[in-house]
Amino acid sequence: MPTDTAHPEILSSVPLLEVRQISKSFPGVRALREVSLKLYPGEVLAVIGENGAGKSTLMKILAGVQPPDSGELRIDGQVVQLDSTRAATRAGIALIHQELNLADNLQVGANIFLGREPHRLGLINKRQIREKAKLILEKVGLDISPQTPLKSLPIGKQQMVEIAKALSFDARILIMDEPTSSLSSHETQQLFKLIHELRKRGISVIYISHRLGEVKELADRVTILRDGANAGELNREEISHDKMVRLMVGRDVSQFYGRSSHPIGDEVLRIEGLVTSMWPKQSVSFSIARGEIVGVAGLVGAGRTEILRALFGVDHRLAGDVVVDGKPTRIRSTRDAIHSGLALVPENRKQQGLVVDMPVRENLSLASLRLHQRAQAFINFGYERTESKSMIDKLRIKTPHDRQIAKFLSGGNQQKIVIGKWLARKPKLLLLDEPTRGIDVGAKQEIYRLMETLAAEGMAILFVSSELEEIIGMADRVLVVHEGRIAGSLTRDQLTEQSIMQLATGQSE
Amino acid sequence: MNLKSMGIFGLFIGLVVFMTFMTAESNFSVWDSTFWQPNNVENLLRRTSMYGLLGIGVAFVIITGGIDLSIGSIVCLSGCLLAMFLQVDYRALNESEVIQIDAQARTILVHPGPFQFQPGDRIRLANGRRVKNAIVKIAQAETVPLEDRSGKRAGEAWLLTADSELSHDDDSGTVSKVYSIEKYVEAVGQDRAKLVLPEKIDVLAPRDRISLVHPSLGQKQIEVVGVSNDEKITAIELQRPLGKDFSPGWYAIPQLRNQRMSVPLALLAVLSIAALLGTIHGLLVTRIRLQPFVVTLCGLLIYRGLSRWLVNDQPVGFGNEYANELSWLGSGKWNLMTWEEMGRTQSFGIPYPLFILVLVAVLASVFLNMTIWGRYLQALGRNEEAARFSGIDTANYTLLVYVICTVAAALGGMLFALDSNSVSPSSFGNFFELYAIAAAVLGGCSLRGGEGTILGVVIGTAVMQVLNNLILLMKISDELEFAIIGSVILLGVTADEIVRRIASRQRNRPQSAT
Repeated sequence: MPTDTAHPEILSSVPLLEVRQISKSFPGVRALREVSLKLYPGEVLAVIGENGAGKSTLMKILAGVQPPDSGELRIDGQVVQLDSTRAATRAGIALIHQELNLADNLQVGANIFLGREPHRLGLINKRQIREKAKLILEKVGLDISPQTPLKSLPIGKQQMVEIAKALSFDARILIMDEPTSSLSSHETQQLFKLIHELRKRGISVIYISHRLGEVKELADRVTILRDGANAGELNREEISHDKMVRLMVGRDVSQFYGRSSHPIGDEVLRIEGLVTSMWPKQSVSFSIARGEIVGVAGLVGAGRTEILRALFGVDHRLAGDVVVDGKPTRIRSTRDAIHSGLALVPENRKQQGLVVDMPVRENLSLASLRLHQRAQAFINFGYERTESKSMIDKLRIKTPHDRQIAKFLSGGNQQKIVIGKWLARKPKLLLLDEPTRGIDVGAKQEIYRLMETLAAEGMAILFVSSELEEIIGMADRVLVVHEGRIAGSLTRDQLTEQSIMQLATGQSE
Repeated sequence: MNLKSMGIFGLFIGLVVFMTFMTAESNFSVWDSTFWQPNNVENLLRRTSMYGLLGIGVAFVIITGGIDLSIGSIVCLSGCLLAMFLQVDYRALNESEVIQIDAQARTILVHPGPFQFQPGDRIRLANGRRVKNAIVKIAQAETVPLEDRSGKRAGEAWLLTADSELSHDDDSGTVSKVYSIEKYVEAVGQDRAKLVLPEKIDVLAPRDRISLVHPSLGQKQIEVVGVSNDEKITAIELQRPLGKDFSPGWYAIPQLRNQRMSVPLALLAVLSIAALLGTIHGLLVTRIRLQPFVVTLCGLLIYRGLSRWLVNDQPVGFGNEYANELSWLGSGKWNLMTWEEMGRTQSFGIPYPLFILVLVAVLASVFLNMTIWGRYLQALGRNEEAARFSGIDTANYTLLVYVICTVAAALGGMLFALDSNSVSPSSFGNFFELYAIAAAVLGGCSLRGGEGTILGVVIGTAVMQVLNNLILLMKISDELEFAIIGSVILLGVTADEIVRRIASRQRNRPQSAT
C-alpha cells in the first residue's frame, strides 16, 4: 500500500497500528495482561501509567526487542510479526529511546545512515550521505551541517538527529519514551513544534511521559495502563489532570500515600555549601530533622542524585561541611557515611543496591556483618539467620526462603531487601533515591507505609523522586533542585504540581 | 560441596578410573596398573599440591573478577631469589689478596687482613682460577706502608719473604695459610676420618670444609662433621675418609662456610618480596584503575626478565647444602610403608607439600566462607558497585587478593624450586599461570567473578595433573600435551555451562506474580 495516501484530514477508520490483547510475563512478574490499543494515522497517542505499569514492555514489543507471549499486532489491518528490531523498522516503527541510540564519536550524517551507508565498491559514498542527510535534517527543522560531530550538539539537537534518522527509514510510527526528560524548556517547545509538523505529514506518534502537563498539551488521545493492563482511555476533550491520575493510580490518592502527622524532632543532619563535581559552581545547603520526610524534586539531570551520592561519600565532593547530630563529621567514603548513621538506597537497584547473585539472607546482612562479628573476623551465622528471617517478616519480603538468589525476586521485593539491609543498622537518616522506580503498585504502597512507620519511629528520611505524585503524597517538605542548586523549599501546604514544576524548570526567578 | 564441585569431582573420578584400566596389565588386577604405582601416586600428589597452591591463589583474584597472569614468573622469581638468598660459598681461612710478587727478591706483597703472618708459617700461592698449590714457607714477615700512585699513604700491607724460590712472578692471586697435618686417622668400619691440625682454629664448625692440598697430587675438599680443639691442636672429624692415596705432604686449608641468609629469613624475605609485588599489582589496579590483565601481563614479562638478569641466565640451585634442612619440604615425604618387591625396597608416603596444600586450602576455605572479609570478597566479585554502596572498602579488598595470589605463587614457587633442586630462569614456571587459571576455571570459578570454591580448585588442579599423567603413561606424544589438556578443559567448562543454563532455566520458570 502506498504510504503517502495518509493525510491528516483523512482519519481513516482502519488504524495504522493496532495492538490486540498482548500479554507478556517475566520471571516473577506478569508485565502485560491482554493490553490493547489503537493508533490512527497522524495521531499523537500518549501512553501513561506509573512505573511498572507495563509501558516500557509494551514499547519494547512494538520495537521488536521482545516478542509477546500472546496476542497480535496489526499494521494497516494486516497481522505482523515483529520478531526483531529490523522487522519493526521495516514495518515503519521507530523507537526514540530515553537514552539516545547514537554513536557520539561520529558525525551527524554518518549517524543517520549508520549501518546502511550508500556505498560503491565497498567504499562509503560520503557525498551522497551529505546530500541526503541535509534534506532529512531540513525536514526536522535542524539547520546544521551533516558533518557536525554529534557530540558537539546539545542533547535536544541530538534528539532531533535521532528523529531525523527515524524519518530516513520512512518511519510512520515514532515511539518516544520520555523524550523531554533531559531537555530544557526551550528544547521541549522545539520538540513539540516538530511533533506538530510530523502529525501534519501523517506520521503517528506514541508519546510516553510522566509529565501530565505535556500530555495534556500534546496528546490527541491518552491510553492509561495500570499494573500491566488497560486502565482506561481519554479522548482529547476528556483529558484532565485529575482523570489521568485517578486512572493511573486507581484509588484515592490521599489514602494511597497514607501520611499522618507526627512530631518532628531535633536536627539530624545539616549540610552547608555542598558542591558536587557535576555542578562545580553551585552549592547546596539544607538540614533534616528526626521524624521528617523530605522530598527532593527536580528534573532529570538537575543534580539530585549527585547530592545524595556526594553526601553518602560515593563521589568526591569539592566542598561542603556535614554536621550530624550537631557534630561536624568527615565523610570521605561510604564507610564513613554508614558509621555516621547514614544509609542510601540507590537509584539503580540491580547495579548499586543489591548483589543480585547472592542469596536474600546475605544481601540483608551485607551492611551489618561487622556489628555482630565473632573474634573480630568471623561471621555470626546464627545471628545472620535469625536477623534475616525477622527482616523478611517485618518487611513482608516475598521469597520462598532466605537462601533464594535475589535476582529471582520481583523489583518490589528486591527494593525491600535493599531497605532491609540498612534497617539492620538502624540508621538515623535514610536516603532514598527513586525508591519506587520500576516496582508494582502494591509494593509501592508498602514502601510508602514503611517510610511512614520509620519516620514515626523518629528516623529522618530524605528521598529523591521524579514522580510528583509521590513527592506531594509523601513529603513533609520538598527541596526543589534546579541546575545543581536548591531553587526553593516548599512546605506541605504549598505543595502542588505547578509550584514544584515552576521551581524545577527555573521559571519562578 | 555444591553442584559445581560435584561435577568436577565426577570428572576426576572418571579420569582416575579410566587411567586405572588403561594402564592395567590385565583387567583382573587393576591395582597393578602403572597408574597406581607408589611412585606415580606420590608424584601426582606432589605436583597437585604445588600447582594447587597456585590455583588457590589465583582463585581469590578470579573470585573478585580479576586475573593474574604473572604467576609463572613469580614462581620463577621466587625460585631464583630463594636460591640466591640461600647461596653458599666457601672462603679459605686466612686468605689475602696478592698485590705484587717479586720472584727475584722472593717477596710477596699482600693486602692486610685480620690475620697475622709469622715466620715459619706456610702459605699456598694460588693464581686466579688456575690453582697451582705452590706451597712456600715464610722466612720473614713484616708490615710495610702502602702508597698509591700519587704517593699518598693508603694503609699497610704485609711484605712476606719466602725461604725458597718463587716459581712465578704475578701480581694477582691469593695467598692462604696452610696447616700441616699432625695426625690422620682413618676409622675402619665407619665412614669417617679424623684429622689433627697443630693449632687452635676456633672458628671452624661443622658444615665447614677442609681443603686438602698437595703440591703435586692436587686438591680435594671434604665436609667437616665435628670439631674439637684445645690450646694447641684442633681435631676435625671429616665426613668421609680421604682414601688410600693419602700420604705425608698434604696440607689443610680450612674453608669457612658462608650462607647468605638463614633459612627462615630467606623464606620470609621471598614471601615479603612477593607480597610487595602483589601490593604493587593491587595498587595499580585499584588506584590507577589499570586493567588486571594488563598489569599482570606486564608483571609476567618484568619478573621473567628480572629473574634471568639476577642469576645471569644461569641455572641456580641448592646443591646438597640443604638436603636435611629445607629440601625435604619440597621433595620429601612422610613414609607410610616400606616393603620388598622383586628384590628392591619400595616405599610409599605422603609428600610433604600435600600437608602444606591441605593447610593452605583449609585456611583459604575458612577465610572465604566464614569470615567477614571472605564474604566481602564474594560480594565485591559479584557486584563491586553494590559492595561499595554497602560500605565495603572495595579497593583494599581488591588489593588484598593480589597479595594473596602472589604470596601463594611464591610459596608454590619455592616448593617447586626445592623439589627440582635447580632453577633455570628462562623456563622455570613457564605457563604455570595458565595451569593455575585453568584449574580454577575447571574447579568452578567464573572469570566474571563471584563464583568458586577452594575444594573445586584443588580438584581442578588434580584433574589437570591426572591429564598430564595420562599423556605420560599412555605414551601419547609430548607434542600433543597442550592440545589434549586444552580440549578437556574446553569440554569440561562447556558441559558445566550447559548444565548450569538448564538448571537456571528450570528455576527461572515464571512463578505467580508477586
